[in-house]
Amino acid sequence: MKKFIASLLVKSLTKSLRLFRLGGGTALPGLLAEKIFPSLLSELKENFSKGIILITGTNGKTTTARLVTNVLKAQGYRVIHNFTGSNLTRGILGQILIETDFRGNFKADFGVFEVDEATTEKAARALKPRIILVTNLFRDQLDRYGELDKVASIINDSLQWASEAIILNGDDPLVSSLGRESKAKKIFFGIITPNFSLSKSVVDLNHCPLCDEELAFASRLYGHLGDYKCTKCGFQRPNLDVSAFDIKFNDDFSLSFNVNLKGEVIEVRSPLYGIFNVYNFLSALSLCTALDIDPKSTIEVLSEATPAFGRLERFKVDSKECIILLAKNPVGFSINIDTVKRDRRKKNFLIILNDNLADGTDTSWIWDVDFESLKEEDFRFAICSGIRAEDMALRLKYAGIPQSKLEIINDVKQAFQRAVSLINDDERLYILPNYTAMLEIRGYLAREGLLKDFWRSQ
Amino acid sequence: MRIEIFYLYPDLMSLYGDVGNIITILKRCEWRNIKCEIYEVKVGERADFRRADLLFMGGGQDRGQRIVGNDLQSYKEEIKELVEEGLPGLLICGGYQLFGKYFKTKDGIYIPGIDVLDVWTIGGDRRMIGNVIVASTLFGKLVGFENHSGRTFLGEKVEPLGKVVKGYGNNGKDMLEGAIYKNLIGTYLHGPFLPKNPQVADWLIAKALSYRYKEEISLEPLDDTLEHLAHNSQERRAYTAKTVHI
Repeated sequence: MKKFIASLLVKSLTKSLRLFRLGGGTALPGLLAEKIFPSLLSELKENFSKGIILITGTNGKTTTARLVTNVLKAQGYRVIHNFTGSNLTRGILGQILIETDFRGNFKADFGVFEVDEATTEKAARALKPRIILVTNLFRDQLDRYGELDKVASIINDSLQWASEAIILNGDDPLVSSLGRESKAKKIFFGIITPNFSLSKSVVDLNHCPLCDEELAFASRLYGHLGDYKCTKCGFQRPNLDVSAFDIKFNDDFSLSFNVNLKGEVIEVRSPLYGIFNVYNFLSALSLCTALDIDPKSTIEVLSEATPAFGRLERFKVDSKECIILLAKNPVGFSINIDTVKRDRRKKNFLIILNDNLADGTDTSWIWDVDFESLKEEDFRFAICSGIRAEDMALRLKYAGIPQSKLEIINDVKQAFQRAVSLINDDERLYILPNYTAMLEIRGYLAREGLLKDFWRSQ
Repeated sequence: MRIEIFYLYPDLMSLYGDVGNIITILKRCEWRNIKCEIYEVKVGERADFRRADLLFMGGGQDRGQRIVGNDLQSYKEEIKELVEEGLPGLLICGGYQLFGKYFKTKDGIYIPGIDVLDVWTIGGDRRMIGNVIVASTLFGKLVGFENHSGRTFLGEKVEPLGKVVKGYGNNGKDMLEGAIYKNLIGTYLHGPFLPKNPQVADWLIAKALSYRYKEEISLEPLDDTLEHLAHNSQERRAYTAKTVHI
């Protein structure tokens, strides 16, 4: 009965929300169901015949969860996945309930859920996952999380609930230091000897997470990701079970690289772009390998995956090409700037900055982004939009970008129309929104028929 | 003309966009043809603070503050003496706390500061987070963002930076924010405090020049239209934005 009521509630509410285009509509109904039946999530876990997988970390949750889901579905498994990116326990519950039948029952093999960093422990306690994967940890939304070490400690607590394996980014010293008390098998992924240097961004961790001594980096990819060693206590990058090397960024926004999987080298070409996606690819591959899925068929599916919504999404207005690059925290933004700079075509910018709860209400982080490196780029305009457009324009002014190139239009729709009217046919418009700004611009573009609603694009 | 900025422990004490303040001072000097050099003070080296014309220190995580705290003690007397002579500086959040007398954590652990500012801090359970508006006699209206669990109290030797109009300020009780002693400012308004309050940036630059050249120096005004737009946008959000509590 409980399941029936909860399922009816969630389905009817979600349908209404989507009908009126108020959003993907799983979080609010899920929240109601959670309030009425607090133990429901934990009870529902029994219905997953093959168990549950949780994916957490600062960047790459959505894409990794999506990649893993693609592979599992290609294997014929039934998968429930919170693809809308609604990643608090309410979003996970909402997603499960919406996939139930009219009696409130469902049959699924796997649950693949991305989960908000600060919620990981709560979700893991309720869902008792087989595997937990941690992508990376960077400063993000410090107004919600307090500080990075606090987030790391919450995730560390959650790892005790992983029954089978813990998959960790070996290049991230804060992540690789987690789970030391856990008995589950540990699997590390990472990138070996970068043959390129990336845009500089603020470094979140210079010191050993175990003993506070300064870390020595033999190589550093970006932020605090790299090949590190503590000279005092011996903590160092672990041996990588799954790794990538020889990464090439191709002009058609694809990636080529080699993967080393337990000694076997496999060549990969992927329509995903940007260094983040190499990590996402590796984390998905590590996860599927841990689930005993054949690596060859995994790589086949992964090599066909297209980006998740708002992550390097391309569309055209008449003959003008626009690219959306979600940019919601300092390291993510800095890497996006690096991606933009690799594009040799002429380009202009629409940067949208909101300060809603889901973004983090503190916009200070934009000063940690390396906008200074945009100075050398040849572009005609950067329109700043969103609730905090003025802050973004001010940041760009202090990055040395001439004020004559800057324009402030708070309204997202008007800003987009203005940007499109200004670009030439041979130029690209890069749209760099933070989280709610991305939902806002995508919502507008979907209404205009330029993009699909994200809950349909699955 | 030139000034030398001592940026204390940038790798550990630059939590919330604090580097924005350094960028602001650099740019506002550059636009006026004032040469600006930055010396980064790192843990374990011997810095000569007598060369400094301006101090800056941001906020850090507990880990950062722990590592930095001991190192800073070794400069205690030197910094104290120079600040008495008029060395200007800006200290934010953790930097503000460490320049005070002590920090007592909520578990009762006593961490000594360097006692340059007559302030002390007591750890609290609830973090004070959100946009802040401050009314300052010296600077007029100031805006910023705060995120701290420490409650700071002022002794007799310091003046508050201003009165809290919106937000929590030093401790959420006496409605005061920050502290000023001679030419040294401590505040909880973290991250890009100076770009949105350019009058404070210019005050610091002028004080640094006057300190270095031992004469009163005033600055050419700049076009601060964009600075004021961002200032006003944050002021509006101080009244309308929702805040979280953790």
